[in-house]
Amino acid sequence: MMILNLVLAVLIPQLTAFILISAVWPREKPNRSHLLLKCCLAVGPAFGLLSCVYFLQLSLFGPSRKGLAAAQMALLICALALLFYRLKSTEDVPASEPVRTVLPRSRLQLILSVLFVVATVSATLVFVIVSLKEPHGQWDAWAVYNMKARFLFRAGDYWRDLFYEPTGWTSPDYPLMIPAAIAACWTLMGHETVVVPILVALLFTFATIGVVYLSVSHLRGKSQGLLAGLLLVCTPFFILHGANQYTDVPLGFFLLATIALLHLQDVLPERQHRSFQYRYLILAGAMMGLSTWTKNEGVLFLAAILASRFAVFVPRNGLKVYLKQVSNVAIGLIPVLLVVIYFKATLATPNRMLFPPQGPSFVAKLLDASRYWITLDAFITQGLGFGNWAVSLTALLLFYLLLLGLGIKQNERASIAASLITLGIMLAGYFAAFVLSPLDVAGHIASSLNRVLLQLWPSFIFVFFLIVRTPEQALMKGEAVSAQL
Amino acid sequence: MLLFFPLLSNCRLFINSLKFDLSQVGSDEVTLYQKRFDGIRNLLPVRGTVGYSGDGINQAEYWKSDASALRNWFLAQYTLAPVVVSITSNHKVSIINGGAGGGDLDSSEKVGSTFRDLGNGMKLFDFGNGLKVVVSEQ
Repeated sequence: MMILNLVLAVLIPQLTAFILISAVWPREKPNRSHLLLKCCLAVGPAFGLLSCVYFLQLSLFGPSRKGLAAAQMALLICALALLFYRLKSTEDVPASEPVRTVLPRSRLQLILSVLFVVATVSATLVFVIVSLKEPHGQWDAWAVYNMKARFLFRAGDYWRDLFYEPTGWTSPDYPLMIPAAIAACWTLMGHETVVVPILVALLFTFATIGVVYLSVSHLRGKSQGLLAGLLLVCTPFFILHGANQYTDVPLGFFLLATIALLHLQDVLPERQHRSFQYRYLILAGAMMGLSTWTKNEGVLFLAAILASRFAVFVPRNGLKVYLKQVSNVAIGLIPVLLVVIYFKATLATPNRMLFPPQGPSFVAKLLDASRYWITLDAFITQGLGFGNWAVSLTALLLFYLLLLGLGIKQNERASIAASLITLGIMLAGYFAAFVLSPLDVAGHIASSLNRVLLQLWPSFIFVFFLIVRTPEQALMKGEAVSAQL
Repeated sequence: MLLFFPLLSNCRLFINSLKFDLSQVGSDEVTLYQKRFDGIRNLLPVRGTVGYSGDGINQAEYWKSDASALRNWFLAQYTLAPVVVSITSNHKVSIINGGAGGGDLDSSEKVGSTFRDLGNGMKLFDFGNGLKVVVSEQ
């Protein structure tokens, strides 16, 4: 019975999100890789939607298991109705489906596929073992996110007590996506179990790997996608940190999903842009919104995306096209953003990083050169040693890029530039946050830098494999394959 | 190389994880720590705020406390949610989380604990595992 309740509590939101994504997804011929990509992309919005509904229910009506279950069923029916309407509609069916040449499976592709499956199975076993060893996760998981989930679930009508802790150590300004999603699953199940936070972490971790593999495959071919997926699944820190139940992996999922969806939109031919009405942008907007509901860093990401695309696309396509795109992003973004604004306005306390109760003044920190050196040194050192790999990954990727060379497609240059600028702004933002930290800079960096780098890691892998030539291109040294891809 | 080193890292991680003894499932640090609090739940309110003090906690500037003291406090909060476990003073019920020790003198037996009347309506319950609870009836 417990397993059935667990499956229903997790599966129904996943199904709803998958149907919603399918309803918005541009219409193409049935394609297995698109189906899998939609399944992976659905993981984040599923928990996001569940947590938003749960939080609004708590805020407006108080806790109710029946009410939450009814809301989930209503959402599922609405999603089905929307999908049905889309399938009946012919407004956005392209005149001709995009032609994609299917290359015969090469020996390289076969080897990569086998290695990817083996590595994924191995990573899954590692994840399960780590979860058995530490079922409550590591420090931040039990001290902040799972503690809040327990509070929301156990407190009944008094869940707001969570925000009254006088010293503020529970970070009451942190968005509630993960705690509320966990508490919502417990509410639907009718009891509390550590399996739920483990399952949430597992789904986010492996969905991120899936999005990297499938979106790079879609844009660059299967071999390149497998290489990208292999690199992520074989990053020890990514798997371990996912199993530790921190929210950096879910945030990384939303950052990656946004960037991947924007690339999918940008590579559509202009004709399809019109007929598809920027549908990927609506999904990208929802992912951006959910990133702000997951961690405060999501707000920086939202600003970075809007600024980078403004800088790249306005000179290229004009302000009118940019505003048209932003209006489509807003369709997905605004509903989630309203929930975040409501939370920040009614419950969250001021952010302790921006408005610290202790430490030197803002100006003193800004003018302290030693803070910049400490932070820069840490960025370089930890950047080179990132990921707990057997060798320096950064050096290896640089070597790989030099060996294979650049392979940027003409129609993707602007999109790649915008993504690189976004990642650059994120890094600059993190750098500034450490320099201006109210905590001891070295201590803050030691406990956080590798985690914030991990948030960007899936997106970085995605962009890297769009920049570097594919193995086929490098092996054949010809133009034929690149033209086919 | 781009295949070899990732796969090497993956293998290394897998081999390291196999060192875990499966008979230890359910005996992790957090689960065991939470069990210490089983005895004191009946003394705590269903909701509201209780006081907390522990070895190494800096009550004026908590962020300067020992890492292990902070860990104990946060674990207490994780365990006892939705009761707010606060290091501020003047609460009717306060938890003292210290090292494991014996009971106190002149004590009467309670279920799993000993208690002592401190006067002025204050009672101290000692659970013998480093946890004590002070209840004020005023």
